Amino acid sequence: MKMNQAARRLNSIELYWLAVAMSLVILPHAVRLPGWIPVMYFLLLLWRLIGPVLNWPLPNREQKLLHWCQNILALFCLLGIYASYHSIVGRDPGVALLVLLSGFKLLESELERDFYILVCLGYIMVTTNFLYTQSIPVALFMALVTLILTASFITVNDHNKKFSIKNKLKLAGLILLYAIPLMLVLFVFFPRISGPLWRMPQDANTGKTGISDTMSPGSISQLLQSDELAFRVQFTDTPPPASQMYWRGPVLWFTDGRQWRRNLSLLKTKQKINFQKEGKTTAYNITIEPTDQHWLYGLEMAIKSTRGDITGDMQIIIKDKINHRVRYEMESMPVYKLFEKVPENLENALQLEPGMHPKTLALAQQWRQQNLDNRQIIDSALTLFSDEEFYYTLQPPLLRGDAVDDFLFQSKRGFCEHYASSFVVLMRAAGIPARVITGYQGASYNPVGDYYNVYQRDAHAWAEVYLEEKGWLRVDPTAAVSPERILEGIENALPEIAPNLIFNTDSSLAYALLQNLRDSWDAINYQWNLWVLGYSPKRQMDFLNKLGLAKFGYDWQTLTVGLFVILSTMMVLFGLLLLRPNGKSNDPARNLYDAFCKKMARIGVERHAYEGPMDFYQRVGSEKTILKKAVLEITECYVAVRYASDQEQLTRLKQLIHSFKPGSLLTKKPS
Amino acid sequence: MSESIVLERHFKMEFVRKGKALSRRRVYILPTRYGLLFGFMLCAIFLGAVNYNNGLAYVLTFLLCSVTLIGMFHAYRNMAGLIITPGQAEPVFAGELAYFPVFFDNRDQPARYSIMLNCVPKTLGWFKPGAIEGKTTIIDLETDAFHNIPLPKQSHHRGVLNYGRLQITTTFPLGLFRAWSNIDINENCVIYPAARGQLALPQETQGEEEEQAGNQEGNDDFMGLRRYRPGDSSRHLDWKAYAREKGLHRKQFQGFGSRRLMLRWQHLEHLNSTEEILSQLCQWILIAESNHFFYGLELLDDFIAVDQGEEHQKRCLATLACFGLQMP
Repeated sequence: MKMNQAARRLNSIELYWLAVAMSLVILPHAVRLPGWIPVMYFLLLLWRLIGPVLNWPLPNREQKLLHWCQNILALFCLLGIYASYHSIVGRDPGVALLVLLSGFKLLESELERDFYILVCLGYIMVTTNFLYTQSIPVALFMALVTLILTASFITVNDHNKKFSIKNKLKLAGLILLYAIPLMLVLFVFFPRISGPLWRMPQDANTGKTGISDTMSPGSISQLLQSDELAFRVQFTDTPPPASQMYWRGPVLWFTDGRQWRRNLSLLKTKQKINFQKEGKTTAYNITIEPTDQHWLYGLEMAIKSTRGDITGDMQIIIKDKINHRVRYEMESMPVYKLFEKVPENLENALQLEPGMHPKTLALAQQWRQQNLDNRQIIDSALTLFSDEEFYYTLQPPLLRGDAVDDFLFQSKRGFCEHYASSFVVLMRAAGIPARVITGYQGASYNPVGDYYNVYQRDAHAWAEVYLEEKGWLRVDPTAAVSPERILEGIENALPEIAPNLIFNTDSSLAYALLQNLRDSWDAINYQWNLWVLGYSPKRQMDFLNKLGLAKFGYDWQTLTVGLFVILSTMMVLFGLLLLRPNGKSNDPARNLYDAFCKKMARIGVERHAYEGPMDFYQRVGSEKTILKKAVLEITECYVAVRYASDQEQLTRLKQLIHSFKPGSLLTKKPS
Repeated sequence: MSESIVLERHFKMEFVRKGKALSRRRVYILPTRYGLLFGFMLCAIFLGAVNYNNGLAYVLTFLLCSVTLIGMFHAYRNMAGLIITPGQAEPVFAGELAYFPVFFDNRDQPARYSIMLNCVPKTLGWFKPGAIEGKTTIIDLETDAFHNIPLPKQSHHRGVLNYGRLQITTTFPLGLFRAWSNIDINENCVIYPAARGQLALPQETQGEEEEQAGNQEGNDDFMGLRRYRPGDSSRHLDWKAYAREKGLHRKQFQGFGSRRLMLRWQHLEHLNSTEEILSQLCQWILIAESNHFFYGLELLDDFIAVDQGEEHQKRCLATLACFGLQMP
């Protein structure tokens, strides 16, 4: 009779393991998928698990009709996915397909080979989780799932069910533990290839928060609600003080009276910049979170960047959309003179929507008529903000009518976008070329990792005016109305935005500890992003360089050969480790007897592997008669413990063997 | 179980047991079909990692890759170092399952699990599920174990059954690799002919010794004790005396004289085939022994004198089994 293992039916233990493992891996997906998909999965799972108990028929190879019903159901699910996602290609519909596939496969699983197929599916599902998030908690959870999946392999190969749940997990854990060093070697040395290998279908925009390429009242203040990270900065040398950190983003030229937008012609052509450097540059690197935009941020003014190009208005634009975490290095010049050589730009910097902001225009005219020069006009505007009753607030009243007029003369309450836009309008009305700059201001220092975090709530808008002798000059009207915003950051200027942020100025020990914990966790995340998630081909090369392996060259062949050599060495080591012939018995009596045999071996009477305790005693008795009595006592005690299961003798055995000193007995003179 | 069994065969070991030279058998390892499936899955995940530049997918790929390597080691270790000693098989009747006891010595070694034992044709080197004869025995050996496992093999006709080749296989722990080894078990099991036939026992042959009372050993009245002779049926031993540490003795009974028979080939020459004759003779021997008769066997070339007892029965049956066959 042929016993084909692969055709062996699965038993219920194996099924439960599989069910647990698959369900755990699908759990994080369940919140992302449309509701009916996880529900469908669980129904299929329940059918499979409860069916045998309640004697429901299962759609396996015997039940043809049910099998057809199942296929039709699967087809409906496929249509359902199409309905939910309007496609079946791409990350999200692909994951939905896999989840349902797992459910159907579980339903029709009955043989050993179905088990293995499902476990492989499970590992694929683990990977799909990583397409959504690669944070440390998710990684740890998936590690747990991997442990369970590995233990599932053990389950299906443990034919006599000798392993308890705990032991299976222990063995799986041990295997994974041994696998980790090998994994690290592969991770560091395996040659990395730049993806992508094929064109990926663009997934629907998942609505990333952040600065956009237009600005209107309210667009910056809405970012205040977000606790999300915008980017992280690490300085090579001494960094500037946080209050002087202006991170330049989109430069907005044109307005329709309410909304500001960029000058697209400047982004397309390369323009000649007259940039005068004065003093030293600051070098730093930035790791930016995905923005779905085509620009990068840099400290004013950026002159060199490893990614992207610098435009005529000193923006850093990049061809590929930033839809994943990107790291780039930059150099900026904090002290500079930027002159405008293109007269058309200066004209654009005076653009105003005709017929709008009459009161603002009137005010500007008033200043002109007072024969104030440009500098004085700028000062007048700033004084207007600081001396009159202007407030810096997150929830200004809705502007009715003309946005600028209403703000300057009616509500006088606003956020940085109001101040910046109205300031620029005032300047343009007075004939001074000006433009709006959006980006971020300030940063939070993490002492544990020695880097700065810039959050979405640090988003800011400011202005630049053009003076003949000075070039483009930054003017931040927010500083006039709320100096705390610039000097101390948004959390201190508007504490109401984040009631959960503890800003306890009495710096108690508890607060310092908590903050240190948070900084440490953040620093760990930073290193995680850098080394695990961001281990690009370039990073690999830099790292190998640092290890001093530069001289071996970087082509495929060398790296592969080196990898092979290291792996072989490790495998040999593991071989020696795992294939040791001795097995430590769990039996204490046996271990004690072994200790006794070692003592005997030291005096020259070695017990043969095939000699039983009594036979050994006989031989000792004939060879070393002096020891006969002591050995007899030990042997009888051992036999009683081991073979007659007389556990009380165990302590006596221990005593006897510990006090047994054959060497001294032999040299003792017979009395 | 006596401690003087000679260790005969074992697998490839790094360190040979002290003092004893043991012959070795190789352990082979190959991926199973599930291992190949796993490999394909790894490739898929790897491609995903490269394409999406996903650090954790890389981690998973490399981790699972390493896990397969470690699993390979475990499968090998599950086999390597095991010491196998074949034992002697007890005879059975044709058509029954013969059991070949094999000693598995796992002393001083780590535990082994899910070791599959199969009988395969002697020409088979690889693992082929279709080539397995009979059922698979799956055993586990804990640390320091020393077990006797009876391996079944179906007997079909009388004679001598050689076990053939034992293929020891394991896929523990992950099922991705299969480690196996082949051992030729040269043990022979005597297969008695199946006891068949309805003919009555022949008449007594030594008539003049009938009806002699006295010291004939029968089984009616208790007569006394004599010292134990090897081969005495355990039903006739005086156990109580033994428990009192008076030694092992056989009870003797006095009867009216048991029957004494000579089972001859000539009695059955009228039957159609040799096998029928042998089967009938076998049946007679069993009946005679169960009735405590004295019987002897006379075939063409063999002559076994009249006697009684298990040893005698075995000898007779073995003669029947090997009748006319070339003995290995």
